[in-house]
Amino acid sequence: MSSPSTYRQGAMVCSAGLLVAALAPLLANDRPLVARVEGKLCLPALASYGGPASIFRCRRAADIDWRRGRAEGGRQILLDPPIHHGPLSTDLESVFRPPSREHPMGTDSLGRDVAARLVHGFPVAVLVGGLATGLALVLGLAFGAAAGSGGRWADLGLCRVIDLVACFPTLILALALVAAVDRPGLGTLVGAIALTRWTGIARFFRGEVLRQRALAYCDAARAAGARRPYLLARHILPNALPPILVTAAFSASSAILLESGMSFLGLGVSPPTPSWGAILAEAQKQTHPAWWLILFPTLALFFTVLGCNLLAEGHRDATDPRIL
Amino acid sequence: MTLAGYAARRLIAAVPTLIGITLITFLLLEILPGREAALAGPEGGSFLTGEAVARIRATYHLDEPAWRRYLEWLLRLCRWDLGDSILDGRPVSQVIQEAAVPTLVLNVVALAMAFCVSVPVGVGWARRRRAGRGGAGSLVSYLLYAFPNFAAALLLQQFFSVGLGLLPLQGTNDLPPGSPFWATARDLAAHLILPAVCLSYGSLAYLARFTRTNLLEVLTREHLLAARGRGIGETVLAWRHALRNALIPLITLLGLLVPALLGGSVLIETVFSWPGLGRLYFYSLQNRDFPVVLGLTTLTAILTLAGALLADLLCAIADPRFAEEVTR
Repeated sequence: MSSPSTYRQGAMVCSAGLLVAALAPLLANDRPLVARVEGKLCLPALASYGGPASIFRCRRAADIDWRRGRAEGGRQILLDPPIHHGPLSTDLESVFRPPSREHPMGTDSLGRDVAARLVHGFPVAVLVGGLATGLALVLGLAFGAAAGSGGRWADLGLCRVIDLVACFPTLILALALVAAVDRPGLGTLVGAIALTRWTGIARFFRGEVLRQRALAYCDAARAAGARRPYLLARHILPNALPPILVTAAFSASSAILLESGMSFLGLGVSPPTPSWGAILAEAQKQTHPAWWLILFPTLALFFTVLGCNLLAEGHRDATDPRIL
Repeated sequence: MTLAGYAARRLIAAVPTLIGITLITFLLLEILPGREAALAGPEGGSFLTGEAVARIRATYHLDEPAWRRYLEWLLRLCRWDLGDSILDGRPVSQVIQEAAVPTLVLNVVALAMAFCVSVPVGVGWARRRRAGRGGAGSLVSYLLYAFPNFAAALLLQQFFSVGLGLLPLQGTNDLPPGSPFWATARDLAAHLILPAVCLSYGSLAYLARFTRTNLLEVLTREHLLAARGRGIGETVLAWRHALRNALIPLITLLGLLVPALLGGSVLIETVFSWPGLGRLYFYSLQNRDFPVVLGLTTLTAILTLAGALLADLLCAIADPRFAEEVTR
């Protein structure tokens, strides 16, 4: 694969994922996109984003139970979302339905629409992947900078810490951390994933700081009066950034995999939250063969990971002069 | 400095890391909530009185200061005494040893499969690229590498076990004990296929890319140009002269693969109910069987450290230039 096309494909897949994540409440929702309530036009689905109800021009639209009596009492639905089910709305009369017109990806054990849960799994994956990677990046850069520029003893001590954390297999450490905190939720999950993923970035940045500090341009900057934080942030970091961004993109894909793996084991996001791993776990608990519970979340996970990896590879090909 | 000196220095440098590993696992255990409830046994958890909690704390020496318990635990660890499992009262070392066998079998088979397929594929792929092809292989390896293995495990289970009924769904054995040896072996092999495939295809894709990239780099070196000039055929050149050099970094990679395999088998072993270390870890974590969790976490971390150390030493033995560099 040539590099520009790899990069473009990766960027396309990733932005499609981000778009679905951002538009999830408009793509799958119990509430209609446009409706007429008591003669007034309003946008009930937008209320799912939160915020004051008045900006949707219709104060009561958010409180109406749109699943029952869709057209009673002077209401009229003008435009439904493509999937007119919410990710959390259960329907015990239609459990384990295979894909149909009503439920394009079938339903799970509580009659929840799999397509809706899948779509709402995008924001969860993007949030966990993005936040965990961001946190790991900050941690890694801080440790790397401190080890690389803090003198011999700081370097020795911090390197031991990095070695230490790197010794624990990712999933095992993340599971232990989540169990130890025992407060399930997105924050815990993000923290646990970030704490297991920063060591690579720290090692690389430390090496870069040590290497570049000795280069002539750093001497020149220092002679011109640049202090250490300035030198690190304005000169060394930008020079080291392309490979770090490649690592970060790979890191994001593995954070998303880790999240779904942990949710699959039941130690990730807490139950009603829609996550791809949680849908897969639902499938595994059933003796009933429900292929739609496996296939669709797998594909979502696969394309997201593939997109991140292609973006990372493309970025590497574009910025690393050593690779032809 | 000799190679033995280098090994000794690396071993000494590993000691603080080792102590740190035990400290971290111990700290994790200290902050784990619900310890008294778990120690009271499977049923006793939900209605513990203050007196009962105090009794449990005294029985398990939890009323002693943490540093003292840590030192005692460390001393016992040195004697390979990891305490007793809360769930069934057996020694943790015995529980771990029992689970280590299935994990080892699974991982060795998976690694062998990955290796036996990826090296020929990588070599063939590297040689074909010079004829102008290479795009399709690259795409396949991307796709395989990105496919989440526990999800693949579920799909393969649905297809081969539930749908077609060709392979067993999970576990290691369906036959009653005392069956003829070959029947048992065949049964085990059938149970092994799906988990081994799931564990290996990701590293297979990675190793094939790795072999190809390194081989392409080595093939441009001067000693290969010289060999080609002497009239050595392309096949012999790639397989005998270039591959050896290209595979030296593979030693490091195999060392790094140790934690990945152990961590990766948590999911796969859980899906396939494979009675190995990964499933044991998850099961113990769920049931708050702390001595087992602690033992396993420490063990995997030590194995990771040992893997990296061993890989560096093997690299030094395999490549004299590397040895010269590190022993200088």
